Amino acid sequence: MPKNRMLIKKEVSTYAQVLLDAARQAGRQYEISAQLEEMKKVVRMSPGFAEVLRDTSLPEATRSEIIGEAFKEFDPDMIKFVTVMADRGEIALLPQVAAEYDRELQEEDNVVILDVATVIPLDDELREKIKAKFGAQFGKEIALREHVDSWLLGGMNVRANGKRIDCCTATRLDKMRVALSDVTTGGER
Amino acid sequence: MKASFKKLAARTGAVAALASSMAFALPAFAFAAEKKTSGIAAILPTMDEFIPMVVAFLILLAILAKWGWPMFDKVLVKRENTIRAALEQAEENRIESERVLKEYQDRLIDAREEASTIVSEAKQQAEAQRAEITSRAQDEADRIIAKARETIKTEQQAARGELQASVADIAVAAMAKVVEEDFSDADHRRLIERSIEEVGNLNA
Repeated sequence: MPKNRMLIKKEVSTYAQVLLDAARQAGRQYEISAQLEEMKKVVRMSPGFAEVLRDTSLPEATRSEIIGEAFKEFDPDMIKFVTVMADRGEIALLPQVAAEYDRELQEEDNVVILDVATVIPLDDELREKIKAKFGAQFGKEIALREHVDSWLLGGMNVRANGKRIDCCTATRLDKMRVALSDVTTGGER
Repeated sequence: MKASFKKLAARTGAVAALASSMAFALPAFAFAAEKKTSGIAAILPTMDEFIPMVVAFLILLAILAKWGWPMFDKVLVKRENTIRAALEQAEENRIESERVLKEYQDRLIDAREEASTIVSEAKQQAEAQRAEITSRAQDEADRIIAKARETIKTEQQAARGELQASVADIAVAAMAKVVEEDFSDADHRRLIERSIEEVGNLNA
């Protein structure tokens, strides 16, 4: 049965608040935030897997087993949380729950969650430089959510509060390729 | 007129024949009574010959004066009138002919002028058509040449663009390969530091 927007928003908020409370009790609120982001990405990138999660005709035990296998490196509470959502047929709300979780976390802690993607893992020195750079921009403490992505080739991508800056080498090379393709070589026009 | 002339001639001939027969009959009597003469008397008529001849002549003259001459005069007058009328008719015909000739000549001149005008106009039209056809052909040729040049230029640009794109793809792929395979962690770290320095304001 379709739900109206207010009910959905309330439901999303409830999911996010419950998860955040549980994460705070474990002191892993930022790790859970990162895992939520990863799960969201996995569900978005794997339509077949998302279809299995949405399939309510599948026995709960089987679905739970599939989720546990897919996210076996994730926090056990996180896996339980996603399983509950899937059993309730509300896995489609995962992106909204992740966004609401981050919003509430940032608001409660007065921080800005900054997603940083690089080719190599960050060391402490780089983390401090990034926090200093963007902390000055936002006037708040920066909570890093790190991602390693070899596709970038080099440099980094940063994203916070729905905004994104792409400083990676792959994008620069692509811009260079476009510029080279558009160069007029002269001669007869 | 011809019949009356024949009638007049028949009457005149009869009178002349009668007079002649009388004139020649009288000398016959004279010759019958002719005597032997000599000298000038041989050629001079004798009185018995002369008088009948004069009488016959006078009779002939009287007959001719009474009937012949008026008839001849009448015929002559008629003939004169006929000839005059014919001459007048001929003159009228000549004048008419000259008028017609002049008219034909004028028409001929007009026709020649008209023909000349037509020929001249036809020449002008032909010349104009020739010029127009030549102009059209030239325009068409220019258009075809321009289109061909445009096509060649477009194809050249497309080929150049494809070549540039290919060169760019190869160059970028080579650079990506170098970065991916040859860059050490230290190199990547420098790139990240450089990105941190150059990154814009995310809170703008």
